[in-house]
Amino acid sequence: MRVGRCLSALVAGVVLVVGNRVPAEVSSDQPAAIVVFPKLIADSVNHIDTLIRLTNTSTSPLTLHCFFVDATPRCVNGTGNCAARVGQEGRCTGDCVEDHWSETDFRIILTGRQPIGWRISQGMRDCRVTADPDQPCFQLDGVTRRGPNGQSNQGSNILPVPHDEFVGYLQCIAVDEFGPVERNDIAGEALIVKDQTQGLGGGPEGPDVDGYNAIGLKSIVGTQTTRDLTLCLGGCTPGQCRGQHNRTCFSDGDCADGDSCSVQCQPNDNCPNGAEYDGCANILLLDHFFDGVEDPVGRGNIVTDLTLVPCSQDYLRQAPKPVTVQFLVINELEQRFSTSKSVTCFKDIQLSNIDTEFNANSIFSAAVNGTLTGQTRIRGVATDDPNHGDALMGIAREFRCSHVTSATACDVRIISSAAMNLHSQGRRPQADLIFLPPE
Amino acid sequence: MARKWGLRSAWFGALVAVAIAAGPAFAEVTTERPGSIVIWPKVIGNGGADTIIQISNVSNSMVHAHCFYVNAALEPAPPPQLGLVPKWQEVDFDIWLTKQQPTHWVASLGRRIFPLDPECTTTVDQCNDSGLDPGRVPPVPPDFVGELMCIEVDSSGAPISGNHLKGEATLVVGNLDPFNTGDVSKYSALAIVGLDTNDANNVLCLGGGVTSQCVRGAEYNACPQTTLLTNFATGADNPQLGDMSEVGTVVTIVPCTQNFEAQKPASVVVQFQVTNEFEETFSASTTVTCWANFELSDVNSVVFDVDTVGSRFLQTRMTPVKDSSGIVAVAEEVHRLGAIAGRAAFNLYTIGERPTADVITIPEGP
Repeated sequence: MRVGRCLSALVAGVVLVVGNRVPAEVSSDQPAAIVVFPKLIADSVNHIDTLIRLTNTSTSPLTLHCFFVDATPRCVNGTGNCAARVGQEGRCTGDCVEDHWSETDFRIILTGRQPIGWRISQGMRDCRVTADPDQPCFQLDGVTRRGPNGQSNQGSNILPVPHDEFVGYLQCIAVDEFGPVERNDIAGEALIVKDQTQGLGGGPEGPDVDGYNAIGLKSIVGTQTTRDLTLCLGGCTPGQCRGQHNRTCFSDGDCADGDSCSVQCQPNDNCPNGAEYDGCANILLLDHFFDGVEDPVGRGNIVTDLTLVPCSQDYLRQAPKPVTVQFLVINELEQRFSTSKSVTCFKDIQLSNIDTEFNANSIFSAAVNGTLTGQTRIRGVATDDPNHGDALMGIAREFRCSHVTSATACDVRIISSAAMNLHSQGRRPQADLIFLPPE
Repeated sequence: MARKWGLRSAWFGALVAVAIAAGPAFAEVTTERPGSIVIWPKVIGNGGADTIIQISNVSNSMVHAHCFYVNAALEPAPPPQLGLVPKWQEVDFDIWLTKQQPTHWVASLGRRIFPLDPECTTTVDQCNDSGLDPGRVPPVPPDFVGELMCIEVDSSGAPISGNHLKGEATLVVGNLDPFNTGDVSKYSALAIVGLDTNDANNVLCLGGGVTSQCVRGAEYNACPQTTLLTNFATGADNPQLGDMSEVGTVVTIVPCTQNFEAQKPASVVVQFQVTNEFEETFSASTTVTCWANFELSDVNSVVFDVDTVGSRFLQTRMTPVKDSSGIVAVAEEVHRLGAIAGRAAFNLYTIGERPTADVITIPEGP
């Protein structure tokens, strides 16, 4: 009889363990509850704009709370803007200083399975008040038109970015009237469009378009019991005391004397219930051409820009903290190089400028590595700060350039560009946190 | 007796629970994590475009991979059939990657084993093939359109679930299109994660349960139930490029079930469910045999057309019909302004997993 009870308890225990969903990692190929577009650019001088597409994958209406973060570097000791790449028209003649971050937020209501898209320089409003009929607008205004199920976009107003020559990122979170909700229903893409018909590069050229998928963080269903404004991405998930199954714990110390906990990890006071969303990856993987190499098929030399955004975001206090990023570079000869860089809020940088201003001497240049391609492993160095994680998200953009003054500087004309999402590997025990402002 | 039955029930319950726990937690195809099978659905090497393949080993151990090119170029159908059919001509080769080694090759050129390839220097930027050669990679035939699949194997050639491979493809427009020569688009290879249940035989079971072919059940994650695409309606303009521009979406679909042993191309009927910005829904379907690369308007000229659907953006859900093969897909958008175009490739979103197994059968080893 006692054996039977033990076995029943074992069954119950196993079922309980099975019932706890293990947090996964970020993904850019599955709908999620939080999506991040790490690289947005609007630069009218160079005829560049970003088109964002968002869609609701469920049949129920979905409300999104979105945050534009303006991370445009400031031009000092010169004139021009820092949104343009080196060599592009209007580029800052002095130094670009990254000391300016500000957030703007707005709400979007998407009806069931509705797709929308807008240019970040224009924003998107109700069609009744949109001046230019050729620009995207909300079709289901809720007054003159509703969807077949009575749903509408009433209350949506996507703000344009706060100024021209903008560089930054966008984050959208699934919410309802009470706060964040456990709905993994958002999918999105960003298209960076450069209209080269305007005579750039000495003659009419075609449009140049590159795109990437939004990076998604899935909500872990059943974990957002408190509905608070601190979102916990990954990190330690509490277990249960082995002898007292209804008691949650982070380590043996949380259980009675002589009892033990099913997990051993460091609790985070911001996350008493553990992870609410998938955690960010421990390592980001980027396979790239080394800067300066000639495209073996097409025209021009190749350089790659990397954009990194910390997973932790404090929209409440607007006080970004620096993350030290380690880069481990492996070339096709299996040789390794490494370097590091500090990232605060946002970093958009050409690979061969990460470790030096002299591109040809960089560990990301083809001349130093000797081979065409390499694999770079990118890792935010973890700290003990319970209010801030150190994981990162990012994308990369490849440029084919002609008439470069040096092979590693894409400083005259871009022939073509292509964006790509990064691969990811592993999880980390520390949580990343998003602090939302109160309504 | 009752006590015995209670004990047996409890043990059975525990075993079932453990079996469920041991199953794959997130059984989908991924474009951002390493896997044991990597698929590049769209590889072009026909003069109109060429493809640079990148593949790398993310582990600290040596990794072997067995790769298959499938040429889906059209050829006259054998009598008594009429018309054109895909060749479905398979060519395979082996590569070896040292720890964390990245490598690449150009589809039309392949890669030879030649240790004296010139290295990149400050004065030499034409250094294709420099580095440790991963093995001899054959060039694709001059009419090649099709897919590339690499399967992680051990040193004997038996499939293993190492999950050490990742890859990318860069599509480059060739000289046959002088207005757009050098235009590029890029996507990540689709990776299928291997499970601990891999029995290392030549029948690879993607998802599903125990069947006569898959005696240990799933050996790899399942293919997706639905593939999701947010796209421009055909003929819609790009709002930045103005009303003279036009955007088209080209989708490439490959069935998950493949039989390289018997060289039998799989056929799958794909249902398209389209929702516009007014939340109105339309549908269409097409049959994909072996490999297909088509503009959405080729599936149905009405339901994707901007004048019919009345909105610029659409959500398109692609679902294979029940009891047919699963699919994997990528999309490429072409933003045209007169004769000149800009391209962007996208990996697609996936929702759910197929309940039934897809099977890849590779030729038996020596």
